[in-house]
Amino acid sequence: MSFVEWLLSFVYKIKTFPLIIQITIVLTMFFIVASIALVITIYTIRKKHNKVQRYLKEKVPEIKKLFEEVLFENEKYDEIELFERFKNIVGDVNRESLDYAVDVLVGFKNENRKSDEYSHVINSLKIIEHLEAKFDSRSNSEKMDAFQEAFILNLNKFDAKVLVHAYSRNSQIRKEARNSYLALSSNDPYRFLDEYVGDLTKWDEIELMQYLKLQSQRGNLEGLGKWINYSKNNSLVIFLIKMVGYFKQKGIDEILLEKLEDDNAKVRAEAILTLGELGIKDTEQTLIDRYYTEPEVCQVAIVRTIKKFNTGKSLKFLQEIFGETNNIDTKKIIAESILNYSYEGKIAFQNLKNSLKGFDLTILKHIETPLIKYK
Amino acid sequence: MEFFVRIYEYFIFFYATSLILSYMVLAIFSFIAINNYKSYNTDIDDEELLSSNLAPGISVIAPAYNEEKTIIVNVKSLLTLNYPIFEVIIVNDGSKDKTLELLIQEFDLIEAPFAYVEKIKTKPYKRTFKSQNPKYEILTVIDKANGGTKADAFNAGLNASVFPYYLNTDVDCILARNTLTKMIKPILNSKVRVIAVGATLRMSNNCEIEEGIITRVRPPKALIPRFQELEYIRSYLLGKMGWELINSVPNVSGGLGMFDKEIAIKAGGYGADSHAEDMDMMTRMAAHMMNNRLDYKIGYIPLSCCWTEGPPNIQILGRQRTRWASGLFQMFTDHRKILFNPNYKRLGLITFPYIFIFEFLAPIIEAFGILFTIFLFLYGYINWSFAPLILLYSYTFAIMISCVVIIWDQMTFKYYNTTREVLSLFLTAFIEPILYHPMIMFFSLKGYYSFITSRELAWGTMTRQGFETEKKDDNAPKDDSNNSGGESNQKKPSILERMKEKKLSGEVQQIKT
Repeated sequence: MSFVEWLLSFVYKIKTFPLIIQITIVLTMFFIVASIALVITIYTIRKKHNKVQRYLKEKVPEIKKLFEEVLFENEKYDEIELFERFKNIVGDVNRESLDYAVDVLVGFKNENRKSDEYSHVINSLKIIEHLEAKFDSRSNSEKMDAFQEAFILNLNKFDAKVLVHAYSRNSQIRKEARNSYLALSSNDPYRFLDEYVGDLTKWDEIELMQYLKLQSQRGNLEGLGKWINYSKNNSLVIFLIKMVGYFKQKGIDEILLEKLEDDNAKVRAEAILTLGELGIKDTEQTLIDRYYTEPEVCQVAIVRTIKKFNTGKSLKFLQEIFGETNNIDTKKIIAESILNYSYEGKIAFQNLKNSLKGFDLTILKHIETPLIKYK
Repeated sequence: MEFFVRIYEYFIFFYATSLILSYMVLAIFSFIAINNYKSYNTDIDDEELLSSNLAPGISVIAPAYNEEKTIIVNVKSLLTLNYPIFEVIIVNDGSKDKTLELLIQEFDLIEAPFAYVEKIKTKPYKRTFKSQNPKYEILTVIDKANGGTKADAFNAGLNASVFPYYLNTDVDCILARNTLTKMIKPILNSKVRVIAVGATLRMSNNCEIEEGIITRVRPPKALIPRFQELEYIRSYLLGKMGWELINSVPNVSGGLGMFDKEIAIKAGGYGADSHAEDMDMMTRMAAHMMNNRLDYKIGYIPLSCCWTEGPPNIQILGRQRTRWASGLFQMFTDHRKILFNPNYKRLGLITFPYIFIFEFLAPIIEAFGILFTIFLFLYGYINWSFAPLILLYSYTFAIMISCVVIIWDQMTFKYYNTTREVLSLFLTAFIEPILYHPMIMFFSLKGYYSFITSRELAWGTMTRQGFETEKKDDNAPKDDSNNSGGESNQKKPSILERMKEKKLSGEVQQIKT
């Protein structure tokens, strides 16, 4: 009996079984076939992985050595020579081998290894073209890689490529493109800063901050006050106020004072903190006057800012609010401010310790214990 | 009689088939979720976060009860985590062995005046220790009276923590150095408030560990931990990753989970008497968000970030699973209001019913099936032509689904160095349904029985062998019958008595939020 005949007779036989058994047989056969296919897939994945591992073990150290010679040991190769040397190592200069090259360069950058020759390596191996191809790839992970690698390698010649993705239907890609446009564009990096819809995520803030740092290093950091003034997006305003403090941008005192009247308490709190960061000490009394009418988030910001000003003028105020507040976390912040508030603060702290008992005393001891790093 | 047999046959077939279908759907969902994760997350993200001034602080909380064998290696492992701003809080839950003494000695600890605020009620807090060695400045050890459950110890850790997010873990866990950077990312990268994030756990039994860092991952040699390795991968990569796609993750493991502290405290913290503190906590937090009409998300990442010592023998496996099953029963008793309740949306109509039907009821249905089969056998009702076929149906499916998760695991990250190690896991899939699954069913039933008859089940009943096995003390007790956890071994009131008590006190059906 041939296989076909056997199969037909088997199918005929199955048809005589109850429906449940028929379903069971069909599904069981499917499970067996699928299991075999999956095992073959596992084997194939591993085989490919082993090949990659071998490549990494053999070629990557050589690539690393070549780049180290050029970047850190002043070995002079012209572009063609460097390309040929790279080709000799990898055999074929393709997408895969260029990915390894980029990985090595990104590794050096992340280790903060400085050199003026990065652009020479990038030009010799045509890494810009390679990253452009990754931007055009259908794979989202390739695109995400390209955004990040271009940023780390400090490349800003991708205006057109990134712009295409800034209007992508894929929200993740769109967001990444708009954020990284700040670092990867040479013409108008701030283009999307006022186009954010909805709240920024904390990750957006982390990304934007590092791109702003890059702009600052390039000497292209613009005054952020204009966006703080005009943006209707509170989360963006809060972030930019924070950045003004971080980058110590001057000349926006008026805008910050205006933001003290904002309806959003978080905006007010951030403006207060930034006044402290910028050391605008003449606002100290204004902040004290506001203290009792503000919610907790702003009260904490006021205490931190007064500590930052460290003028010695507000010790009495700090002592007063320490006694008045019932929130233990706020109390800790106030106690810490008193302790670090000039020489008089230290004396006042000791006096408080002598006069207080119970849990308030424990708070003071907690604050002054240097072994407790995070109070 | 024949009518009942027919009804039973149909019920079992459709129950098994619906379970199979649900697994297939979860397999597809998890495939999409893993691909999404891999597409939008890279290792460069870690570098960005590590160098950022905006990285939020994280408190790592690990309760310890009689963990003298592994405590030092594990605390060192927690201290090696790579993150810009974090603290490590070890809660000594009234250990009777040398856990605390070893910590004091190894980390040069002294008692510090600590303003401990009891935001969540726990068994009495005793004192706080801090290290005099600047190398360990981020370490805090809280000493408290034994609460009988891990939940009570976690609550004490929460009270002592200072940062807005916390990672709960066990001191018997070895974490990957990038655990915090990987697990905080879903929280940071979401517009909706992410209340918890989970990651995959694996067995550390055959791994190489140096100075608290995993240097080589291998599948366990011993059969029971290897079964558990496969079970964990299946549960995390297929189950939880699948649920993640539709924002219905039922549980973030107590071994490794990152939580939003504010929500955890508002939800009342961990149920102090809970033995399934992880699922209980997750349910409380989700219920709190829904009761307050707040949008939330529970995230999951497919990476393995945590390695824990699996039960080396049946006895210890039994204790672990009995406690888990009892905790599951307790969870459904405490949160029964959620089950099939449309007010709780996906939680009440999808996640809870699924767990109830396919996890909670499964051991009962299986045990009934075995008894019924014996009955059918005795009365000659078994159709011997088709019975093996039905068995083969379930068996081949179990193997297929294990193959699927092994592929998903390989797709995510290749933790094993050799193909042989991967294949050994595949071979385990062949014997798992025959050897391991019946044991799990038995222990689950035992756990349900323990809960109904109110036998005290204390945490810390998992005997550790320690990671430095060559230094194993021959005089050390082989059994941990003395590690009975709760100080009080007095009999607890039965389930009916407890429900009656709650009803009298007006607590019945109330979700603690």
